[in-house]
Amino acid sequence: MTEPLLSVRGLRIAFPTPAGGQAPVVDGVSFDVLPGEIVGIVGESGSGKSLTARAALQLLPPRAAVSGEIGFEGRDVLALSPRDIRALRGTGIAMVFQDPMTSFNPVLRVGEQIGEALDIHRAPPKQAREARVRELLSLVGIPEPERRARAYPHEYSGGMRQRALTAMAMANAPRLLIADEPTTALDVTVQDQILRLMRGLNEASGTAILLITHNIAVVASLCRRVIVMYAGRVVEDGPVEQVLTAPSHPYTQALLQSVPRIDQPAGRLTAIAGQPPDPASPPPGCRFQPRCTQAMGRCTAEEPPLDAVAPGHRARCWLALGQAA
Amino acid sequence: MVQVGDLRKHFSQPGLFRRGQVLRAVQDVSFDIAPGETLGLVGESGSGKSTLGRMVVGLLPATSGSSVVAGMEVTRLKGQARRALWRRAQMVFQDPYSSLNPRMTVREAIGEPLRNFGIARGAEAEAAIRRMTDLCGLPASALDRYPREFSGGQRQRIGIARALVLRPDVVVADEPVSALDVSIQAQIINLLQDLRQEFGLTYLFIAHDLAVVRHVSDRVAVMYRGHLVEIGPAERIYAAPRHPYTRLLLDSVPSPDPAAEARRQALPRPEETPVQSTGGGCVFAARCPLPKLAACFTQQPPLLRQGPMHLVACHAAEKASPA
Repeated sequence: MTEPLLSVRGLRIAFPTPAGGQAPVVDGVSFDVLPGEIVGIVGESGSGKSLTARAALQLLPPRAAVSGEIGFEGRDVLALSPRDIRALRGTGIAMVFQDPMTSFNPVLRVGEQIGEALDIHRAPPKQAREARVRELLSLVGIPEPERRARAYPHEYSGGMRQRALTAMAMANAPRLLIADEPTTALDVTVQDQILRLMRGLNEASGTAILLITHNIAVVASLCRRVIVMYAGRVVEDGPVEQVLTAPSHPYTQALLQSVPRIDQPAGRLTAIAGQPPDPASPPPGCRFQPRCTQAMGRCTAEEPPLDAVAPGHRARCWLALGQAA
Repeated sequence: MVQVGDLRKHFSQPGLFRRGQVLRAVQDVSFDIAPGETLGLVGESGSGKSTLGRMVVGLLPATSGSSVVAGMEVTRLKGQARRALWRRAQMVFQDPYSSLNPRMTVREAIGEPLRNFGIARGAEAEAAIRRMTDLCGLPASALDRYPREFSGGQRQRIGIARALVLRPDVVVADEPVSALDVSIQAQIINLLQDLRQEFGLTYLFIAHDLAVVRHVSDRVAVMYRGHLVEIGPAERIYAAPRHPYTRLLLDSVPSPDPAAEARRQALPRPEETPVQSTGGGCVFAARCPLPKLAACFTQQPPLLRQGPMHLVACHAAEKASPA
């Protein structure tokens, strides 16, 4: 069996509450990403999906209390020194964010900034460095890379900036690329180009991708496996074909039904009533139970475990596990 | 209910280096919306759809052209007449939080238009406020709380209640659900549909999400760089788009169904070239995958009838048309 590239075990991230307590916003999250695999974490705001991803690079705010384990190629990321985590960033794990404008320095040329990313680890001679920058820009589909490298970030369109940011992330050939809502701010035609770019990078260089998104269609477009998060918990995970075609968890089912689709005519959408719980005071039992149309007695009494419903497919639901009674 | 004719908005660029250049945000756009109808308006960022929406209800002055809403010529209204318009036409925005006064309770926020327009006060106003909060799915306990105490979805309900308390006939909704989570988005879409039934509202529904627009619209209008390039019945636009830009948009939307998504990815797709200025020709010519005609480079195509209630602005589609 292949050793996982990234292995998250029992990750818990808590923030202090005004009342003096601790509110866990990520609570007992475990999953693996295999080398070369594309995995999606899907969830709504407050589900803990972005924090989970940021923890893998120690990018959480200092007041966050983090416990559990994040293993990357056998090393415990949470225990790494600032020096070691810097060494890991870029070559091991690289990250792209939603807003490429804030990720670039506005007064430096794009090529210069990508070059800096190279210098952090290798500091190649000037000519080799410039050649590598051009190579990276053409890798992400930026035309006329020589001219484009000399342009400033504001001279790029939104889609071009996201490509350039991806080029910067790929500069040191990371084994894992974490992409946090990489297409959310983009127009749909540009989103389609960026998704194709990521698919191509994965195929060409074998870089594994952990994609964080609220958009189920983006998961269907790019990922082989998906992790569904709700209120700080993983509620379902498994192969994309299974989870999105025959979801086991009522939350995943409801989420899929609430998405309007361009290939379906108008009609009433199945909305999920209510709102996600406050992390400081989660409901008793299953966290989705107050909004679940199929909730039963056991659901309020006891939280279900995340357990197998089929090979490689797990769900955190008494009903799906056949133990509702 | 709404008649827009040759509406145009040009901005002169203020910057140091581009002074004197003109940004053509909206170029001679015309359409009608029948009473009780929902017209969806789609386009990418910078297409001019929001600018157009604001001009339709007079929130932004037009450079030229006309917008007649509920019998009133919006572009020339002043003073009292303008107030009369806003009793008949209201806007719902993407971020209701920025349009709600943080120091006002929900009751004050929803009741403010009633007071400003001298429509109701006291017990009568309270009854109107309660009915509208109830219709918008807000609990009565919400009335004494402040906007910051609510989630995005609840705030949008407050924004909608405030817009509808004057019982307008026309509502321009500009990206009303794009800031919301998927499950909440469905709640608000359903609410807007229910309110349309309840009050017989006429909607101009502006959004970049093509699936949301299909879901709510009777007809759909597509904008590209200031121009209306296609308009027609929603079913036709989605099933048989005639403008190459509409087709590109629809082909770019991923599907949440893995099998349908695999089929979409297998579609042959022309590589896109970056947008260049096209001089005097069609605004879409630089990205257009169709075989081009000479006219594509010399003249912006007019909107022409391509079927029942279906208008398309494309030289090439016109030629390719079967009948």
